[in-house]
Amino acid sequence: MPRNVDLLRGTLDLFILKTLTWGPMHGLAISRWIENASKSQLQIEEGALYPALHRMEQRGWLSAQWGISDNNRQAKFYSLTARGRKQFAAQLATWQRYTKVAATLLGATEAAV
Amino acid sequence: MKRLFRLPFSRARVQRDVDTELAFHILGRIEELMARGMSRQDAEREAQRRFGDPAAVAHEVARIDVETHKRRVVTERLSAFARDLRYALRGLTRRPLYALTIVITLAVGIGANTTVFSVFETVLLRPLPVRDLDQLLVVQDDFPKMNARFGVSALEALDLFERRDLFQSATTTRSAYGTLLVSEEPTHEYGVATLGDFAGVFGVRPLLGRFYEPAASQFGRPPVVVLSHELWQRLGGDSTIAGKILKIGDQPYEVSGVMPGDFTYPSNAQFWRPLVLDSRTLNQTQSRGTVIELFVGRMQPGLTTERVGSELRALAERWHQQYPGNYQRGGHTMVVIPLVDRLAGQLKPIVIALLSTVGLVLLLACANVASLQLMHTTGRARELAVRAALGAGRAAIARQVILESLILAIAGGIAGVLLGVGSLTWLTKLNIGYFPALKDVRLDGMVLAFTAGATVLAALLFGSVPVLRTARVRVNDALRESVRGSSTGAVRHRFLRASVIFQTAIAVVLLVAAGLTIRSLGRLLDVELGFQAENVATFTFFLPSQRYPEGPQRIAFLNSLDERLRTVPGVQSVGFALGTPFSGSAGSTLYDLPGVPKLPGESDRHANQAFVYGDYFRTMGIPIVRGRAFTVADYAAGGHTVIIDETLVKRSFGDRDPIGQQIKHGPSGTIIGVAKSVKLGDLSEPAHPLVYHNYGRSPSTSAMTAALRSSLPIDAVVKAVRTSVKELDPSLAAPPVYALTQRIADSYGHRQFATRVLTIFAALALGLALLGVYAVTSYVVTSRTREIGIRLALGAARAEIARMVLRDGAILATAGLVIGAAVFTLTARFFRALLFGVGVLDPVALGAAVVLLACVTLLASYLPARRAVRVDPMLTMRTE
Repeated sequence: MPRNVDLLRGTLDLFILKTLTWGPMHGLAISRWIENASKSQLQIEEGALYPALHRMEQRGWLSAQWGISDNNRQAKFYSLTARGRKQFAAQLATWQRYTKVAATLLGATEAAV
Repeated sequence: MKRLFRLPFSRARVQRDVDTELAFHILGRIEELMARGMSRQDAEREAQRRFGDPAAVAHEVARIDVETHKRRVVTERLSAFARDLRYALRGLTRRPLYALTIVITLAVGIGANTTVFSVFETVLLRPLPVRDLDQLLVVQDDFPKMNARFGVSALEALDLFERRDLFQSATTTRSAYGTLLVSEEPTHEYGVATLGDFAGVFGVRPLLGRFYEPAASQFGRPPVVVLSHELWQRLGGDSTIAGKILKIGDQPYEVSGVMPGDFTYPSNAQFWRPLVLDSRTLNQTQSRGTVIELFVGRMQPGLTTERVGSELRALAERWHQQYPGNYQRGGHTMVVIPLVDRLAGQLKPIVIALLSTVGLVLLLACANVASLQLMHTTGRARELAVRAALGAGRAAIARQVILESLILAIAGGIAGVLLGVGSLTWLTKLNIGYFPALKDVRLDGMVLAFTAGATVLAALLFGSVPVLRTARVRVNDALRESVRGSSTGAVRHRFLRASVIFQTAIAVVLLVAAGLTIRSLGRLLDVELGFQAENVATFTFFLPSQRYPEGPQRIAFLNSLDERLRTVPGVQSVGFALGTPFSGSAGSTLYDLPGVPKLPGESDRHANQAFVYGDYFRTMGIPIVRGRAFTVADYAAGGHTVIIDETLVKRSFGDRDPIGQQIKHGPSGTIIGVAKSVKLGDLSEPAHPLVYHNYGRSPSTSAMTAALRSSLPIDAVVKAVRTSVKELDPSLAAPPVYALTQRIADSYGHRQFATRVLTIFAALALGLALLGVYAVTSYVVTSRTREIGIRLALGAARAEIARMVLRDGAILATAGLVIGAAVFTLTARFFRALLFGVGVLDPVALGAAVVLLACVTLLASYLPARRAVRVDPMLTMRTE
């Protein structure tokens, strides 16, 4: 397996939403969580995280608040809004349906034609 | 998590926040890597690598944040607007009667204006799809002493074409009927023969093919014709028709083009062909006296109608010198009128009168809305004051008030446009006699925008200004007292009283106008026709000169037709005449009585003419008051005999006996009888002499109108009549048959239309005035409840209170009546053209208007007065 898997378009949003279901987090924590949860198989370009976060904030999926981090620094914490939760549920369902179809299709033998 | 408050927005702050956020990430990463044992330098490089370009990310994120802010502002404004809107709507639904009244009032104003403006636009602004229509002028030969205007002669037209200094391009048209086969059936079509640059003057591009050149009139050119859209459709709508041959009469024409459907000049023309200047036409026109060409020229830019008029009068003078034999006594000059005026004809004064009255309806509606809103405001002064006291900004209150007005105005506008569309539909179905233009009246964007815009603006101005004045709330005043005659109340009362006077005055103007047109119509219908129109049908037919070149053939045809028509069941008698009342004119000319000297004060001897054959007088029911009617013997042999009418006797003979005298009116003849005077084409026309010529001795015309009197309803004989014409000569078109009474009704259709519309307007005005007076009086009574209570408590009689209220209404109404009557006399000239047999200051119309309005105002103040009388003094005192 290659170390960097290209992120499928749109999945970053889904990962961020998933991450934030654990509770409010700042950007660094989100990127760490994604990295750990994917067992380091997935390393995103961390800069790309921020436009995604702010865009989701604009859409009302996330709300942001300044707070103090573990190491006593000022950090911006993101949390899911009610709309964000709904969005996550919807995107997750779509994603699962998609992977299932993709798996079926890619696993098909010639005989199925 | 919701923020309770937000720091003010600034781009610098956004940038700072973004930088802080990104710095936290990168620093955090570096520390983490160093904790794993990397050197600072390596850790920095690794963090940098993982993050990407921080500057680009910072820029992108800041852009998103700015956008977020903008969206939020928009959303907030929208929701604020939605809140105001909810407020306004709630305010209105709480007073549904008030809202409904205003909406209806506005709808009436807008609806009436939409309708009349549409008519105005169609009739006077854009009757033809022609560029710079107002530059087109009609030139006519004018014979002032005969009080007659005609077209010009072809030779005069050719001279006028030379006046390039006056006209860029010019053309003439003359009627040119033709029979052609439409789906195997001969039909008689109206068309025109043109001279000059018709296409250049009107600038209309044909739908198919092209319009022929002016040179097509030259002798020897192959005959060409341009078809109307309608005729082309009836012929099958062949899109390759250009260049094909079409027979009109016995003459084959090459079709050069087809005009677009909306081009209708002259109205109802089905084809245009060049007037060929062959020797016959030139001979006919040699005298310069056959003034049958209708001249239309496109004025050179920079000229005025007046200027062209004076140039042409000078030209006429020169012609008199140049061709002394051609211009006789009786005086001749030329006049110029805008083509638009000629097209509008009798509709013009009507449209102008309607336009001025409909403006009044709108004003009335606005005044009504204004007073309603003002009264309404008083009722809610408390509500607004409470809102203001609770901290609602003045702007917020103003927004709500304006929004309310706006909602009402828009609702009124929509209702009004629907009303307008409805009444236009009604109008186009009315089929007003000779005005095909009204069939095409339709609503267009310009009219809509104009009326709606004007009314909404008016509603806002009238509605909001007083409201806002009160909204500049005297919070304390309003909270302390409820509705009461305070100092603000006095100002308000003055405005309301003025509004009542204004509304009454407008209603008077409209009532008088409607009354006058109703009276005029009544007078018109009372006019003595001079003949019995009931049970008479007429139809006009044309005997083509190829088949009926001479008198004997024509007479033979009339005799056989006469015989056939008599056998139609129901037909009692049959007669023929060119110049039958309300069925087409036979022209007019000067007459001479060699043996009868002019009476003192007698004007020019000029008379209309008619050519009579068969049992005409009995059929039409025209009494012969002296002498006798034509007999078969008169038609068959002997010299030319004529019958004159009473008007001619009165003008030229006085007490002398006309029977046996010679008259020269075209052909010379002996007078054998005197007929009762008849109306020829318009009930309002003044009496003019008429000479009936003996067609049997002078069968000069190829067109003839048959009249038949029937004991059965006209509809029952129409078919048989048409068949008998066809059977006699299958090449003739079956003529349309009309009931004479219908033709008479058509002649005053425009007056009927004006009367109806003005009556509707007057009724609307009366209704609005009633509403206005009622609303204001009851408002005044309500606001004086305390005063009335005190008076009653002090021992005033209830009758006295009622008188007080009624007197108040009466004073306002009287003021309105007087002002209205005065205004009417000033604007009377707009109505004069619609009047017949009544003066502008007709006491009956004026009196009726005054009485009607007095009754209505009395009624409107009676109800509040009754309420005032029932005031319980104890109750009113206690509520204070």
